[in-house]
Amino acid sequence: MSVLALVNPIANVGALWGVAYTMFKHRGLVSAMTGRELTDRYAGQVLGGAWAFIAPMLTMTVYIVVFTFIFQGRLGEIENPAAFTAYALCGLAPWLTMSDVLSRSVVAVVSNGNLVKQIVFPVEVLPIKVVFACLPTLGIGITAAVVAAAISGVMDWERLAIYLPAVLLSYLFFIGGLAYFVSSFGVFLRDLKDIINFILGIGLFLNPIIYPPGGAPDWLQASFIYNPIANMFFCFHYAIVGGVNPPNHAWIVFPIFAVVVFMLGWRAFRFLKPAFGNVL
Amino acid sequence: MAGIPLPEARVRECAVSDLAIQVTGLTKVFKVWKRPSDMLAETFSGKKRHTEFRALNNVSFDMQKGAVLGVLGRNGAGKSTLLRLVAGTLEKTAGKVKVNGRIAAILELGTGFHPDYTGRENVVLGGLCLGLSKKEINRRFDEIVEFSELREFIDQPFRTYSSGMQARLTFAVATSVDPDILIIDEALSVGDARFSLKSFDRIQNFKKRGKAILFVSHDINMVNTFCDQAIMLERGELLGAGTAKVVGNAYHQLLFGHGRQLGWTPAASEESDDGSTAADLPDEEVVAGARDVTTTIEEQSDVPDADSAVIIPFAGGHDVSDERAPELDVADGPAKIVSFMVRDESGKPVTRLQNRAYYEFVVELTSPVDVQNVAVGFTVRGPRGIELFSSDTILQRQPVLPKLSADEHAKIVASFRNVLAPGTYFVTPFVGRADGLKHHELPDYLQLSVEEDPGVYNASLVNLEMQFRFVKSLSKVG
Repeated sequence: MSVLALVNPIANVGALWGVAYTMFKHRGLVSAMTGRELTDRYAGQVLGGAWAFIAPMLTMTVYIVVFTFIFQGRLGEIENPAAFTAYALCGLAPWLTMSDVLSRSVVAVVSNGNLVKQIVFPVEVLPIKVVFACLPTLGIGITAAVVAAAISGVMDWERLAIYLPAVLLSYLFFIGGLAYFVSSFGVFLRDLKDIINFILGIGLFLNPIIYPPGGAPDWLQASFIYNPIANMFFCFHYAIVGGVNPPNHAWIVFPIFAVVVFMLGWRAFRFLKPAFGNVL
Repeated sequence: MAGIPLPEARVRECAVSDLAIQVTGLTKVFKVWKRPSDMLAETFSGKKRHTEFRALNNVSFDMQKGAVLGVLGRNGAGKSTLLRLVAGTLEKTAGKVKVNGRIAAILELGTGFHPDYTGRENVVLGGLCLGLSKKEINRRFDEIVEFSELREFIDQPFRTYSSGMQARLTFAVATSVDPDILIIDEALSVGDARFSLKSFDRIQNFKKRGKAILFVSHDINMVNTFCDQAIMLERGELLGAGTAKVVGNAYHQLLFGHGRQLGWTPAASEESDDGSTAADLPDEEVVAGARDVTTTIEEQSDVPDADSAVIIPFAGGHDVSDERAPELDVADGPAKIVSFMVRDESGKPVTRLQNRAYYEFVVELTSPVDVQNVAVGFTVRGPRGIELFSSDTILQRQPVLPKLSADEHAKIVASFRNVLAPGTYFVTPFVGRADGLKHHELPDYLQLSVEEDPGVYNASLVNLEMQFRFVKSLSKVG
C-alpha cells in the first residue's frame, strides 16, 4: 500500500459509507450482540447489570480521591475541589471508555474465530458491538462530570450545548477507528493486547486527564501540542468544565485526527479481513 | 485497496443464470507461519518466513441450481477448504469461484451458538448471525422449534443438549434462513434416523424450489441418499465427478479396496490390462497417472475385468487403507494367501454390496512346499466386532483341497447370496490346517459395506428374507 493510496479520497469516504451500511444492514445483529456483550460480562454475578454502573463509578471515585487528597500538590490552576472532581470525571470518562474499547476489541475477532471461519458472517459487526457495549461507561461518566460541574458552578450550559456534541461525535469516530485497527491487527499480532495494556498504563499519566495541563512538567506540557489524544482531553475539559483554556488548535486537531483514525481503521480492517481465515 | 466497499461482498452476481456455483481452477495454498506474528513481519520486511501447503489444487466443477452435490474425501483431502472458499470465509490463492445467490453455511455443528445461552436465545442469535432480521426470526421461530422437536428443551442452555439435539437445532436454524445455496459439512451425521429422514425431506424441498446444496460427508450412504451428483477429493486434487452412486463406489474403493483394483481412470485400467503386476508400482504412481486425466467417471466403463485385476498387492505395503496392521496377520504354516477379493456376478471386484444379490469370495493360495488337506475359510464381522459368520471348507462340508504342490497357485471361489443388512462388515480370509492351526490369516482384511435398502430396519444385521403369508382364522375362539 503506497502512501498515495492512504490518502485516496474515494476509499476514505467509502469507509464512512461502509460502517454506516454495516450498522444499518445488520442492525438486528448489532443490537443483539451489543446486548449480549453487556449482559455476558456480568452474567451470573449477584449485582448483575448494576456492575455496568458501579464499576466505572468506583474506578473514577478512586482516581478522584487519590488525586484530590493524596497528590493534591498538582492541582495547578483549579482550586475548588468540586470543580476538580468535575475536571477529573470528564477526563476519566473518555479515558476509561477508550481503555475498555481497546482491551476488548483486541480480542473481538480472535475470540469469535468460529464465527469468522465457519459461517458467512459480517465480521465488521464485531468492533461495532464492542464500541456500543462500552458506551454506557461513557454515558455514566459524562453525566457524572456534568452534574459535578453544575454543582461546583463552573458550568456554562450554552458552551456545553455547542461543544459537548462536537467532541462526543469526534470521540465516537476515534474509538470506532481504534476498534477496527486493533481488532484486525490483534488477529495477527497476539501480543497486541499486552502492548495495549502497557500503553494504557502509562497513557493515563502522559495525558492531562486527572491533572490540569498546567500542573505537568514543562517537557510534558510541550508534548501536549503534538499529542492528539491530549488534544481530545482539552476538548472534553473545555466543553464541560471550561475554565482551562485549551489551545485553539485542539478543536481542529482532534476532530480531524478522529476521522482519519476512523477511516484508516476501517480500511485496515477491510484490507486484513480476507486473511483472517488463514490464521484463526 | 478497493474503493467503496461493495454493499454485500458475499453476494456475487453471475451471468450464467442456471448455475448456482461455478468453480474454475480453484487453488488454495496455505502459507504456514510458525507464529501469527511472522505473517505481519513478512508483510513489512518482504522476507520469506513461511512454508507452503497446497490444500487444494486446480479444482473445477459446476453446480446447477436445484442440485445436491456431495463432496467425498478422506480427512485432510481438502473438503472443508473447498467449502470455506465457496462460502467466502477463506481467501483463495488462484482460480475463480462464482456464486449465484445467498449462501448459508453450516460448516460446523453449533456455530454461532453459545453453549450458555438457551436454545431460544441461540435460535435468535444464530439466525441473526446467518443474516436473518429479527422480524423474520420471530416469524419462523415456531417452525424452527417444531422442526427440531425441542419444544420442551428450548429454554434450557444449549450445552445441556445432546450432540444430536444440537445438530437438530443447528440444522433447523440454518435451513430456515432460506438461502439460495446451502452448505452442510458433516452436520447431519449425528442426528438419529428419524431426524435424518426429516432433514432429507427438507433437502428435497429445497431442491424442488431450485436451491443448490453442497453436502460434505464421510458417509457414503448419506451422500448416496441425499445427493444426485458427487465429487471426490484426495490430497487437494479433484479425483472424480459423476453421479453420487458411482463416485460413492469409487470412494469406497479408495478407502477400503486394495491397491490397483480401483481401475476407475483409463490410465490405471490400461496398466492392469497389460498384465503388469500392480505390486511393482507404488500407489503414488497410480494416483499421479490419474491426475492429468479428465476424470468424469462413467458407470462401469473402465473397470478391469476380473481376471486382469485379481492380483492384489497387500504384501507391498501400498495398501490404501493404511489402518490395517500387517503384524496382526497369523502365519503358522507355509501356505499363504496371495490375493483376496470379492466380486459380483459379472466378475467385477467390489467392496460395496447389494442386499440379496450374489457374490463370490476369491482367494488365491500358494505354498513354497507341498502341503496336505488345506481348508479355506472366512470370518465376517459386524460393526462392533460381532462375529456374524465364520466357517471353512471343512465345516461347510465342501470339497477340501487335498494337496497344494510347491509353488502351485490355487484359486478358491466361494459363492454366496448376501443376506447382510445395510452396514459395514469386515472379512477375514484364512487358510486352515487339518490340526486346527492356521497357515495364514488376514484379520479384518477387507471392509465391505452393504448399501441402504428399505427391506429391513436400520439396526438389523441380516436380512432373513421372510416370506409373509396371511392366514385367515377359520373359526372364532370362544
